[in-house]
Amino acid sequence: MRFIINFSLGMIFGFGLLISNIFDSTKAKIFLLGSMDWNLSLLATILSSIIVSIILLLLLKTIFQITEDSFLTSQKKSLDRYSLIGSALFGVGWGLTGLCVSTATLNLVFNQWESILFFVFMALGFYAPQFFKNLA
Amino acid sequence: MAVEWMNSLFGGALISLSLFVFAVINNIAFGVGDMLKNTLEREASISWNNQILFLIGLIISPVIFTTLFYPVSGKTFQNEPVILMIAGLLVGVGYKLCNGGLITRMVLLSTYNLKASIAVLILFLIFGGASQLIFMFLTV
Repeated sequence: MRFIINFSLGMIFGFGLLISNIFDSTKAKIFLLGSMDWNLSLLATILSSIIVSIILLLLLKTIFQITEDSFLTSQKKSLDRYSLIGSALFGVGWGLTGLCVSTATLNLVFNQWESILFFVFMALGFYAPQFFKNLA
Repeated sequence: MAVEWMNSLFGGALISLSLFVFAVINNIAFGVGDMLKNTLEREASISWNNQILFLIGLIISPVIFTTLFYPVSGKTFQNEPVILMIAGLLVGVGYKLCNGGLITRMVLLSTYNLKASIAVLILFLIFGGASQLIFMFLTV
């Protein structure tokens, strides 16, 4: 049963990306650039997902008496220099192509060489910090 | 325009709902990047299977969406291969260093340190915009 639920959740996540159209790399680029045809709908997606997650967390705390620590494992709580450097690097990569991790994964199904190339180098990037740490 | 805004709001809600429920029922606050990394590392467990299933659901969602609702297709990229490679690498490194990307930060924002997550989201937007402007300036 849990397998079906997890599969369905992945599918719903994908539907969210498709309906909000943020899988389209040009949407993020237009938003970030603030050009003549500036469209703030990406901001609407960001805000609605933040509001829904806050509501869900409040519901979880009040109705089910579950604390947030119960499903948080190894998340960073504070803003350190790695987070700052990481967010700058992520922002530059996202700005150049309009793709983030989720949208790059979704775009794989369209079988375009550009999205596959991006995905391969993104996967390499996951291991780069550990690689350089081991070298040092 | 109104339809686009409604779609954006509804899509954001679906993204949040699905990732949040996944985090709660599996007792892990993972984003798609964490799932991908775990998948590549092949550490087989029940949690690993659940993450794989989530990713399979995500990857085939356009096919099911096209069958159920309206056709979606891949958009054309306007980037040179070298830019795609550099950007992919930067997104991967950035995700790992700040322990989450755009959507992970959006959805699991309330479970992280709220101020830190908002600061990270703002940095994503600032550096995203700045990189585009610099790139445009350099290529003109």
